[in-house]
Amino acid sequence: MDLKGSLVDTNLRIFPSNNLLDYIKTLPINNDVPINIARLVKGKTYEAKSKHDLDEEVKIPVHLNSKDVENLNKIKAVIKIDDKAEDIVEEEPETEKEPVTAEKKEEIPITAEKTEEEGTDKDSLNKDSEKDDSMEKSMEIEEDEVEDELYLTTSDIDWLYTHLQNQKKKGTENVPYLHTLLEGSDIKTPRNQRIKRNPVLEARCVKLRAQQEAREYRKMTKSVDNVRLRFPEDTISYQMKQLNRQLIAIGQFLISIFAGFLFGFRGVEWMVGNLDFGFRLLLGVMCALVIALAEIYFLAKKLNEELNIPETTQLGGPPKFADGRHNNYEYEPKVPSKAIDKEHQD
Amino acid sequence: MSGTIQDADTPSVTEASELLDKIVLKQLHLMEEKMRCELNIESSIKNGSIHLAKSRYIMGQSAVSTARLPTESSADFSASTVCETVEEDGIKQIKVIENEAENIVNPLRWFGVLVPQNMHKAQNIFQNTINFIVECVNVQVQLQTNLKYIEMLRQYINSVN
Repeated sequence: MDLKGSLVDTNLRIFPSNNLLDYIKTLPINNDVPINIARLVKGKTYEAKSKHDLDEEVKIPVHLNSKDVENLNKIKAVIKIDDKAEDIVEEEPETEKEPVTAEKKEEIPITAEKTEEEGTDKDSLNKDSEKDDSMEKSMEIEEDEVEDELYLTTSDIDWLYTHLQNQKKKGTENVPYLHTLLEGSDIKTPRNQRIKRNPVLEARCVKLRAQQEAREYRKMTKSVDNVRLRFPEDTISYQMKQLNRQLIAIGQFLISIFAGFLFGFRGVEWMVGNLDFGFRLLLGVMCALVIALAEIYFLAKKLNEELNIPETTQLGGPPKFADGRHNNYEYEPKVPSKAIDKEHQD
Repeated sequence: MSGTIQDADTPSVTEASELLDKIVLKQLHLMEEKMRCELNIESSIKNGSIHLAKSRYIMGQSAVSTARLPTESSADFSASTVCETVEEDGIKQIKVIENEAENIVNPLRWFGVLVPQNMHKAQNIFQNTINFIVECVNVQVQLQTNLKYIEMLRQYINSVN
């Protein structure tokens, strides 16, 4: 029942292959080298001596210029021709293909808000949660393992690319290409953080759900239970209360109509000055009529309502938390089934 | 095979390799951008859903529910937002355009005439989310074309060597 949190940082983690590691180890380590690369060489505990500003670095833009696009088109044409000549129909699938550089793409699930499962089958729910638990555990272990390893980020690769380009410009021989270095490296997408459900909340949810179910059950079985069949409706207090409610509603209706009539009959006269008696009567009746029309709607609504008395009997649900047994923050999955059993004995 | 490649105007291996470098690097950046886009979508959908939930709380359960949505038998209406494909720099991109058709329905009307303010907010947020989604799709398209390019360049380099 754990929720998945949103991603916190969206940086890719690149776990270098041995090939790349070997190359990185030949790099001279100074303060210009990004910390992740330096750590790969010097070990985990390496700290940069001076704070290095990555922004100041002159980055070679990775945008394809027009010449690149031209070359791409040429290569495209060549490859197409080759394919035709050799009659190899290699249709590129629409879906993502595993690139040859062994880039592992994992689908990042968009964390939708998980709606709370309201399963009535408690056994299967428990099994599910057990399964989830085991899966989570294995995933956690995996994550822990991953945490221990050193990795590069995209900005490090950027730096590496710039470095390689600079080397080439200086005329150093045998400068490897970035794609050959990256071959075989693992690229991992960051994982969602798992948010543990608060056990207190969980216990409370279980309790509330059990109570809700018990209430529904009582309502359902009311017509077959001899004891409760006539219970609230046949008591005098229930009848009195019902009577009271309806009398009050009618009283309010009458008072507001009378007030409306008075307004038309006297109020208007006080405001405007002397008026004819017949006209005043007409005004009063009209006001009262308008108000009555509006009031009838509310009266009908009110009289239509059923009086429901909240049940005073103890409903099912796990025992209160006051007894200290639940204060040790342990989720007990057996509680709901117990609660329902109890309800049936009622 | 080699006859076509040895032509003077075809790019050399070094050029192709450098191109491949660039594309690989770009691919990495695009992957990160896609994650950021998805994060945007996620957060705005969450916000919109919360506003919807608030309006449901205000108006009542039955007033804001799936029962209010149009069914198959209800009258047809056209989408208020449509997308069209544009080609830019050899890359297909999707653009959002407002639909100017006559029979556009305001979805808020399904839930009543006087809907709470939260409903309007939710509508705005969801409309904004369309832009995020289109952005995400564009990145995805670029990722796919780049994958094709990587494949192609590798084939090319291998065939030349």
